[in-house]
Amino acid sequence: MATRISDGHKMATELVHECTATSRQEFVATQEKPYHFLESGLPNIYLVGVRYFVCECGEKYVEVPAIKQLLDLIARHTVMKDEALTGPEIKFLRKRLGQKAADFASSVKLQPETLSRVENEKQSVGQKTDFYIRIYYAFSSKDPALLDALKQALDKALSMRRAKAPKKPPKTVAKMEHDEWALAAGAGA
Amino acid sequence: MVQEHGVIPKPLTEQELKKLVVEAINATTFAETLETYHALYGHMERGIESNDVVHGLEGEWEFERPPEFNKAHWQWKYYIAAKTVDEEPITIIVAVDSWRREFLTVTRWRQN
Repeated sequence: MATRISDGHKMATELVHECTATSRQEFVATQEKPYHFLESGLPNIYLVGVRYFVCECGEKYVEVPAIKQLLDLIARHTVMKDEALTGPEIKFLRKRLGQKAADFASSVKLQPETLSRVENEKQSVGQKTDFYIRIYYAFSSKDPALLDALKQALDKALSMRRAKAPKKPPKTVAKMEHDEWALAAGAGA
Repeated sequence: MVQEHGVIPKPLTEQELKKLVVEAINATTFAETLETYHALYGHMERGIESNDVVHGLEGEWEFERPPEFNKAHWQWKYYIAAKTVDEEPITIIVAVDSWRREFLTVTRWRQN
């Protein structure tokens, strides 16, 4: 007999699992007993309010509505967090962008072998690379909330540099170098 | 639903299955998901993550083998040959329950 358990009530339900068992138990994840969303690839993600099922054979499966919106939310939270990015988090961001390891490594100026070690937690990234990955994700994902946060951070950083405007603007010298324009050394000084 | 007799419905074509699955994973709000099939995610073999499954379902795929009808569960099971984000071959098994308007995916590495 199949049973469904939700808030203490038991009800009959069916099985859609791949194994040959004919019953499953249904649960609703609560704040007290959330669903550990290991399928995300991150060890610290828990879901509340979703239904999940435990098959007779012990397999678990979870109903995730609007999964892409959920994965985007996790990515946004990861980019905005104060602590350094972990290897699995970097892997999560890369996969959220749908980029192969070699392409992502090239985009964030890492050797593919280094990225592999980072993602597998055998090496950590420096602060600059950490920032660069966050900025790269924000631009590539085009997440409006992240772009807005980035703009605010940039505004704040630039406003600190906007001291009094000099009476006479400094010279800016551009020079042709290697077939393209470049600012000459000491430009703006 | 446990049913063992009756007229077996036609299986979905690749295009029909893709539409059903992509609509469900692309819903952006809970309200939108009520209009689509409910997406259930089952066992993923070690190293496969949700991002890979979503990527696989949304990307180019074809049936790995003809769909199988499970009389005990009265459902069609579709075997999809897809790829992870890193372009490694995976098989996504999609069991569609049209009565409950839900589908379950189980994902494993594909052995060629």
